[in-house]
Amino acid sequence: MSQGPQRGIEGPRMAAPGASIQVLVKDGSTEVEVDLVGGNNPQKFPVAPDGTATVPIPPGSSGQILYVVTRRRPIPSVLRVEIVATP
Amino acid sequence: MNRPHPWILPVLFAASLFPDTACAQVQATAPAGTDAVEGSSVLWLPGTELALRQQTVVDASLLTALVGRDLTALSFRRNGHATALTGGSAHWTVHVAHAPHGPLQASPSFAANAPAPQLVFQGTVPFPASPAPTGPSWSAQDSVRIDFSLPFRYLGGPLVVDITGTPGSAGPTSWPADAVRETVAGSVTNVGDGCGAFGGTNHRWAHALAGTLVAGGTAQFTAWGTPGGLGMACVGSSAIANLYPLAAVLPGAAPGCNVHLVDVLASAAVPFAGPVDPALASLGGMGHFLLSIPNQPFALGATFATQWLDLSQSFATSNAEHWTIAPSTPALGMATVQALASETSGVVDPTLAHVLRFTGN
Repeated sequence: MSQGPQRGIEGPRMAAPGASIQVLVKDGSTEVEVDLVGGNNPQKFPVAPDGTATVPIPPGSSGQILYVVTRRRPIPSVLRVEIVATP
Repeated sequence: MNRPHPWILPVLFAASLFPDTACAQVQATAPAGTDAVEGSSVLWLPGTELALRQQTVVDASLLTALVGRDLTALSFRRNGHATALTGGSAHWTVHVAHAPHGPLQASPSFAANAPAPQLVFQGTVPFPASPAPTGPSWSAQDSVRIDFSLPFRYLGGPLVVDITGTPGSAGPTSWPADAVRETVAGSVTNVGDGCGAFGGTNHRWAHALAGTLVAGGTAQFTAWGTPGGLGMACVGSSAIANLYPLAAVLPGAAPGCNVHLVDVLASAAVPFAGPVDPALASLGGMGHFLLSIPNQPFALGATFATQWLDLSQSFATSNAEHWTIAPSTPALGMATVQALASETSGVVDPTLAHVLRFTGN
């Protein structure tokens, strides 16, 4: 499992493709941006009022690292998630 | 018959006018209704995960029980998510001040919100180890209490709490605090695609944060651009996809780079930072364009558009976005101003604030 800087965000960091992870966003952001290394297809997901965001793990992905990024000031925050299983 | 001493009656009269105020402790918790109820959201505390400065501007209506009293302590409560917290510490400098305006007029400038701050605490703040909670609690293991070294006499009106925090000797820790978020937000709609190296297959590398499009707050517009390079954020009245190729007005511009904005009302040069993380260089570096939205009726529901240029990529153009300010005004009664600890101004959010408990004598 790869762990980047944990600033502003915490939560489970691995899940099977097709499943979801839930992260707790602590920096006040109301949305997170997600991408896979090499995927070059960032997507945005809302943060619920309770600070949690549910991020689906794309089916078929394997061995890649998923990044969850918040864009809000004062500093963007990042969580890296390694997908460890295949469907 | 013995007659009372001449000053006894005035003393008794005065005591009847101010029963218990000389020694009774009063507590007030903001936002309203949260003292025994879990707040709807979560927000980090200064110095837990990085060096931060946070101001909280509190409306006078939430503090009426404390008028004329000496504020002696301030408490935060842990967030209620089902996770045990290992604890840690931070170094805090805490000021309290009468604010010259309410939360919906909060300024990005820390000094403008607290023109005459009083230092009430400076030192190490321990964050207790806390098991997964069963409900909101102010117990010692679920809260952080700051006892003021110098009481602050609260005279009424808006109040501001100003905390600068840096991680303690053991380094950063995760101790998310309970907070309330009011679900007031604007909306954002994409218009067209961009060009250049970032933003995925459609090069949509610019984005307005809908949750920040609120009257009285700081609207935040972001873009992924050349790390260390320079961008330009342009604001217009509206946008139409692929209005014309950039090369039509800028010879040499790359094919596929299009202008979407129908006009430019304002623009600003914005530097792109380094990658968010060294492994994320492929995302680019983030640029932030900030815009204070006044708490004025004309702002409610107003729609504009933005598009960015990456000057370091031969004027690569971004997607455009229509963005609309929330049609209603936040009613939380509090605003949070956040920045890195070294900065003198931050971003204002009138929809999010910690659950704060004040103690007064």
